Amino acid sequence: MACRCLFSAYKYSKLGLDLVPDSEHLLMINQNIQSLAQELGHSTTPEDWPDSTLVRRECYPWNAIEPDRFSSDSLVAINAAMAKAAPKLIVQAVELPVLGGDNAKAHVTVKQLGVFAREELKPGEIILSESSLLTATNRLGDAICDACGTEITSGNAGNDTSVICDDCQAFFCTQDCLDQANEAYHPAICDKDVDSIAKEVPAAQAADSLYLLLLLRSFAMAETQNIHPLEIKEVKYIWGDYTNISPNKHETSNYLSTLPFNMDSNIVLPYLMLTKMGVNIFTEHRRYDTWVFNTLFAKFRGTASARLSGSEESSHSRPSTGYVRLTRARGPDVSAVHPCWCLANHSCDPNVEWEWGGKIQFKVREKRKEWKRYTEGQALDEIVGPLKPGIKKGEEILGHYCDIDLDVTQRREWAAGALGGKCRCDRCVWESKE
Amino acid sequence: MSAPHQSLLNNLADVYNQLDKDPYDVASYQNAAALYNALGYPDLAAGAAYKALLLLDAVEDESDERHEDAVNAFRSSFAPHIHYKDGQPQDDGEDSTDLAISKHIKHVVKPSV
Repeated sequence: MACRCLFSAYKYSKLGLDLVPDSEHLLMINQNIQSLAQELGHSTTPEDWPDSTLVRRECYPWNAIEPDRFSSDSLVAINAAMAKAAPKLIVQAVELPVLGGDNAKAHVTVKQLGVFAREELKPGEIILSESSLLTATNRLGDAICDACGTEITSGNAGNDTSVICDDCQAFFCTQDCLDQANEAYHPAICDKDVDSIAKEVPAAQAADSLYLLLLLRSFAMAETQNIHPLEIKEVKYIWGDYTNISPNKHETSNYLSTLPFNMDSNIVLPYLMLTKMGVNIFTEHRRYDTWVFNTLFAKFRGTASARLSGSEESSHSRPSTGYVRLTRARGPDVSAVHPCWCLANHSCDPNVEWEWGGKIQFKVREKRKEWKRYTEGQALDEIVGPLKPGIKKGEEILGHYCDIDLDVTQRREWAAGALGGKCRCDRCVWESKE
Repeated sequence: MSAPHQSLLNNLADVYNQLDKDPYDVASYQNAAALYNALGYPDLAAGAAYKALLLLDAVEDESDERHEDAVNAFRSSFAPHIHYKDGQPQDDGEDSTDLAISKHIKHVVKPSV
């Protein structure tokens, strides 16, 4: 009830009352829920009451696994992964402006990680190529590789490299993907019918179901590799956009800093998936607990990318903090966490471009964007640029989290979720005449 | 960090140590839920309460794979007065267990959900 998940609260209080019909305590709770719903102006049908909410998004005080991402140990580990995906790039700490809200001061900065060029990079060069096993698709039975999320195109007779797991009929684009899956995650879920829990959901919940499937994949990785889910290499160093608040202040008011929550996605279904996998959720309470699920969701929501399969027009955006950006009425089909790719910071005049794929790539842009200013009457006022393409040694790699063809107001709106506030890149600052 | 906050966190750590020893103890999940609530995490409280609820279901449902563990843990924490002879509860042992469930389930279904 304190979470404002009124329907769930009502459902569970009814469940209690069915067992103990004369419990005064439960009757009181049940009454309170109904009064609250009435107070908030909801109908008398509990099914229509709000059932999801935003909760605190924190690195919990007892989370002993979250690494200090700026420590030399962390940077060594992060750069070892980066060296494989992008030998010409290096990860370093960088100071970025604080973006929260309108009154954020331009000169207040926060330490973050950024990606930099180790040497000069030419326009058109592919400088990062990363595939991930932390993927999810919510299309049941479609030709999408279970491991890397790549769409398997049929019709290339003789060219078909796809393989099927003998035991469970899961589909992989190559034998290599099947082998990797068997090493990293597949044995924990093989033939257990766990996927069906979150697949084939209505479009409106597609994004939520993808996050749930990413959670499932991380459970399978943790079980197969016998490690804590927060220790998985794909998630360990990912920043969860945490906003830790003063311990005495229990109410958070900042929408952008909070985490979507509902009884099913954050509690009931994760435990159900684990139980189906044969995990004992009681003896394994250190590995599998609601705070662990919330932490994983926080990491996924900050960094997972999504794509509509079979669509030329990919969503071209990292999701906002709350939800994956949808470019169509239908929700996204495939989602993935790429731990190296997601470290690049954002600019509305990016020096690299990327295309979603099971393998995600950064290509040095061959053309930079022009900066355009408009007068009040929407007439074109002034143009600068474009800058010369190519990246110098030591320069930061800047990707983009929103459609950079939009005007400054729309761009800022789009990227606010992923950035945690209004974009303050050079182009935005100049175009908005700040 | 304020002192009461720190002591709540310490208590939570104790509850988790207790769960390492007795992972089927409904009371520990209730304690965890209460502490999460006091710390300002109603979402995590709901999660702990849900685990307590699953355990109570397991106590009631003989076909549940955790039935035996759950019943044993439940008896030692809520109904220690029930005595066993040759593995059978004496007197109205089963009824007492049911009564204890009734008494305690109301604490489990948290208002925070």
